[in-house]
Amino acid sequence: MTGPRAINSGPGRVLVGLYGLFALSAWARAGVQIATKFHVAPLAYVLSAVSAAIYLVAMIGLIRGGRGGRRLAIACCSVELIGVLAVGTLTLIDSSAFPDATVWSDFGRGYGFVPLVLPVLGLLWLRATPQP
Amino acid sequence: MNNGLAVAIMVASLLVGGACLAAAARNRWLDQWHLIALGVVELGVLAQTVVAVIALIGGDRPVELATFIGYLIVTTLFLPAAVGLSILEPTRWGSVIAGSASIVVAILMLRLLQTWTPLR
Repeated sequence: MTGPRAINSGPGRVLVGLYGLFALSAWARAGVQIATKFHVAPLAYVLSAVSAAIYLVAMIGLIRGGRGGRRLAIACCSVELIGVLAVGTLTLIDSSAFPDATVWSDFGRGYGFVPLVLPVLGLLWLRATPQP
Repeated sequence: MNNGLAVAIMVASLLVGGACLAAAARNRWLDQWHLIALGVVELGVLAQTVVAVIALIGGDRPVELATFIGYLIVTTLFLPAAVGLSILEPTRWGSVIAGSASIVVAILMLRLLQTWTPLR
């Protein structure tokens, strides 16, 4: 059970599942928001869609593994971490910028702070696995 | 939505999820009875979906229709997808996947109840 692993096995598959769940929920959220009330908060809803795309690409990177997959996953996890920190801080400082919630609002509080923890877990996992 | 069924599903999915995580804690993948139990939870979810679809066809309209339908689709497909992923990873980590997914089903069921509350 111990020792180095490929990024797409063991705990990596748990991350794939989590990223899949978040890609799905962010897509669903963005889809409903954009379809039913886009004019209310276009920025927030576009951001929901962008975060969904990032989760999806991160999941693909983790599934593919190898050099390219790893690079893709590192890029997505980094953007995600920056995104959740930036949007989380913005929603606290100036809540009027985001009149409706996104996955990243208040550091992902609506999702049990998993959006904040997920990129950190991802980056730790990518660090712990051997470079191809 | 049947409230009694929803509560039963939530309790069952939390118990089954806990049992899967217990297997993970013992460094094991799922036993056959875990898979059967997960199947029973999914049967409950499918029954709830049928009840909800019949109610929708019958004219009940949830407060947040689009959100409700979104949650309904995700909830129905979620556990089979997670168990599929778990089968690809037949180690303790597969048990973590199935266990977490089963607990998430309880949360999804709660959100379904919250977005339902039909306007008659």
